[in-house]
Amino acid sequence: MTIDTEIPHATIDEAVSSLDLRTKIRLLSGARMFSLHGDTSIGLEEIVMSDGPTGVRGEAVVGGRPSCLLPNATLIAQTWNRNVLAEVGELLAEEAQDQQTHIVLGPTINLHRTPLGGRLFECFSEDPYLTGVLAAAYVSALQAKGIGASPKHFLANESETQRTTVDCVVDERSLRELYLLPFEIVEQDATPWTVMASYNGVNGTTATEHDELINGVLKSEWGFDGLVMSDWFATKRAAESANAGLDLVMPGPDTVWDRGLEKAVRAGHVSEATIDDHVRRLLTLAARVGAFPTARSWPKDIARPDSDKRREQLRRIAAEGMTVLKNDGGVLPLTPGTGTVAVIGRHATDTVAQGGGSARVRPPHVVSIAEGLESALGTDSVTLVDGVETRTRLMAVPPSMVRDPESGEQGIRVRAFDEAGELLESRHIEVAELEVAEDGWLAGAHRIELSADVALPAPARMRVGVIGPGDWTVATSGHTESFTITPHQGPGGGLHRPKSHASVVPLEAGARITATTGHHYEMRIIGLVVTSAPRSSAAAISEAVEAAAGADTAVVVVGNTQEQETEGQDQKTLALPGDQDALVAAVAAVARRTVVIVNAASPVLMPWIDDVDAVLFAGLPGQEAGDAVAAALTGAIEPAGRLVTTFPRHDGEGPAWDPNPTAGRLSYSEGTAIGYRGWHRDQADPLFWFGHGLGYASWDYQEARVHQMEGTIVRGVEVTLTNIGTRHGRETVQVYRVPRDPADPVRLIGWSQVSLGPGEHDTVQVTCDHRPQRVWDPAERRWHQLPGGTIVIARGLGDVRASLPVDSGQEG
Amino acid sequence: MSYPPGYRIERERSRAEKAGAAAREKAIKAAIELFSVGGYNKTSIAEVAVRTGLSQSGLLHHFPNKTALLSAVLEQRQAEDSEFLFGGAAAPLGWAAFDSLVSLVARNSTRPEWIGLFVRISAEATESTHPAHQWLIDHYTGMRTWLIQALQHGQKTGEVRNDAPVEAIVRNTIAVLDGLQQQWVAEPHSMNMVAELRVHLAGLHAAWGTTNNH
Repeated sequence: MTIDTEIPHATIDEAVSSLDLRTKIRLLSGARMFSLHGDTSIGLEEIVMSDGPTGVRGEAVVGGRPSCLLPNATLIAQTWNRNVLAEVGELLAEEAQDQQTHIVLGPTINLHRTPLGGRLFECFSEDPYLTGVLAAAYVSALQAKGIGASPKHFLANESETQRTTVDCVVDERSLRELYLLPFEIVEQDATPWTVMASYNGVNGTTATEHDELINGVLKSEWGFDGLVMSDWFATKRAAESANAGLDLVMPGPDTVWDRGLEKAVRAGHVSEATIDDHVRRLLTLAARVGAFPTARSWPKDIARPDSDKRREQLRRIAAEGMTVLKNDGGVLPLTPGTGTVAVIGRHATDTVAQGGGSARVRPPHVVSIAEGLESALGTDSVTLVDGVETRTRLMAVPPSMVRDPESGEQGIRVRAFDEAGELLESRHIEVAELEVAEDGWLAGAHRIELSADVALPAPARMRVGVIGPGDWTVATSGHTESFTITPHQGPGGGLHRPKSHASVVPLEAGARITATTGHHYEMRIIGLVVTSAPRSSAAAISEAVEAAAGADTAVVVVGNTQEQETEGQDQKTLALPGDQDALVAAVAAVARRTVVIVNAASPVLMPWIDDVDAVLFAGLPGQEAGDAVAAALTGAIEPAGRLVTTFPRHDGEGPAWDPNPTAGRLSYSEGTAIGYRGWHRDQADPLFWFGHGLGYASWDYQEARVHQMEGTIVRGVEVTLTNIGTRHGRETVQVYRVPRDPADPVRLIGWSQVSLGPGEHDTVQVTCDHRPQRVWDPAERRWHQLPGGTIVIARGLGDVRASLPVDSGQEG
Repeated sequence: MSYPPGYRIERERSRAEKAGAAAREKAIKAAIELFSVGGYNKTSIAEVAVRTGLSQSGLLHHFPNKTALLSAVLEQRQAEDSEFLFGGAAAPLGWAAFDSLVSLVARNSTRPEWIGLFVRISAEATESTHPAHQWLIDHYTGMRTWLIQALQHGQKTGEVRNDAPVEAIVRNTIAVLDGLQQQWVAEPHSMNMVAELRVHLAGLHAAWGTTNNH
């Protein structure tokens, strides 16, 4: 138990007792989408939040202030490096400070249960211990700078299908040993100031009303003294949620608490003491983030998102997390003078730097993989070849391709008209998409018009259209079309994953496009689409084959888009979208050497794996994507990542697959054996194991021993290893425990990292944590220590380097 | 294997056939998913029915047996192959048509279950009483028509020699495609179909191409 001397308990008590019931309840709902009410009578400032965790976006979902776009969570986690996570936390804190934002909503610490989960890219791992330790490093660093974290989503929110209503059925042991464990570790090691309750239900009770989990486990058992807020629009009922321990309903101003909580208190369904506890926690949070009793100061001179400092950090973090999955004959790293390189694939130019959904950030720039490789290898030796189509939903046109018809500046013109057709307002915006929010400048518009002149070097057949739900008319010279785009169901249905509509139109250079849309009932993102007319996959592959046959090395860049890696929707297959597998197979059949770069966060199937020489799993690498890929590919930075989730060979494999609920219920029937735990139990053969990653060095493990025990808990393992490769490298020594009882699955219990030059050796001590070495006893409602079993030291469980019995004589 | 929609030979469908179109579509989708994951032999009609949300007799109303379902799946697959090859645009002609076969074989090599299914069903369907017999005949006819026109077009533009034995080249090429797939199914890792097909095509270019190639 820690005593936080910074919290002015007396002042808080005084403030609480000075407020009347109505005022107190008002404070417990958001004031706006991402901010809370202030109260001058007690000296409470407005608290501002921002979505995280891949960047601090600010309040606007699109078109806001440019912010650092970090590598996605799995790519960061693939470093397995607490220091990197701390660096990330610090960077996010500084980005928040620069925007006078008190809380960054993250990290996301749900687990990779099924690889089809749409939000995998935003969560760290399939392993609860790795997740918890990495998240704790992030949270500690963020909060050390006075910015609140919000680990989310509490609890059992591992997939997106029917996420607001699904009831996840999870046995008590799995809850304790898997899904609660990251939250427990973060609470114990980093004391987060807030936690976010999820949309879904857990064993029959919706998460925002889950007394057993919020009041019981989180607050009473673990002693969490922070604030529990709801996920956006998640709160369903007033009294039930207030009594269960939910402290704050988001967003505001119109909430179920605002409407019904006062009445519930007056009727005696909720005690005023309960309200006071919520307010006390709110003011504790305010004191911690510097919004009570006096306003904090905000540092100036924070590094710009496009500064050299940030670019170096973001490039390095991304490159270090990238993971070498295969490297036959040491094809990688590619060294300058390596000969001609054909860089093939849509993702080379349309590099996917981030996933979709609320974590979305507007970066200052995204370095494409093509740009990165051209600057690293020289434009003379690189040939660029576009690949097959990868998207079915089109994106807003890049700003560089459009000009405001009025000002001639890069970007588009947005005009708002009233019912009489009078112009209300006309604005230039720098990007080709924008958010239409209830409280924004377009809220009162009866009709919105987007217009732009297209900067084409020559006439061309292009797809012309729009993104975003609503009724539309799109017009350009010789083409007028009216249509309706429907929103997705559920919260943020107009905001996330906006659908597109476009038609192929012959365009003159400089052609004007005008798109108008009427009023729409919910928040939405709208924008203009202008992109090349599609061609057949066969034609694209034929071109790639010719280029690959003529080059010394073919680098094929493939991946997912925001259609696969997104909040709000799960995947149906792990196959790469479109005909990308055919592209790789065709290139691999003709190229002298084939290197595949996978620009994705979730596992993907690789039916061509035996035919290619090397595979670099590059994640969704953030704003410095291309430079990071180039640094990893050339070895300027060792891609020393280790996988954080297991890759199946085929669809349907693995301990948990289908995220579709049956009659509203999703059963976590695999129990405590998700991910590698289940693959190991079933003696199955995945494509790549959790923990796999080759780097650019080779490692020889010599003596290993368990050198520290505490009862039956292994506290330390010591191992000597040598870098027998030709390059400097970083090794991640992974320690797993295989329990004596086969009903208990294998689990990671500790890891340590060491950097050595060629020929160097070192003895590494791996501290092992007791928390994954416990078994929950539902009958006695307490933990037992794992007895006996075996310690396994492995580079992923497909490459075991040592097995040590746990001495049963030491059992206590 | 496949050919452009313009070259397909459409059979008349009865009203009764059209009536159950929606349910059929759902069943085909379910069968594709199951065949793709579990293969043809391991998938039962009962499993397809469960995934489709139909009773077994309901499913059997649309597809009298598993083979009929399979031939529907192959037709669906054929439509997808057409999209892959032509993307709704005009079919490539001249040598470009043959180059696009390389892409198609590359695609098939990433879907071993589908090649296995094709090899199995095309052998069975040579019997005139087989439910997939007409599908197989249509398949070969459409493919030949397209490739013959491709070569004739090439002769007009001058990239294919005028004395090229057009029909024989087309039949040989289809034989190579089918034969490579059969060998690949028998010994999956014994060779690379894409590379082998390119050898065949290089031979065609050398023998029957002109210096006006591409």
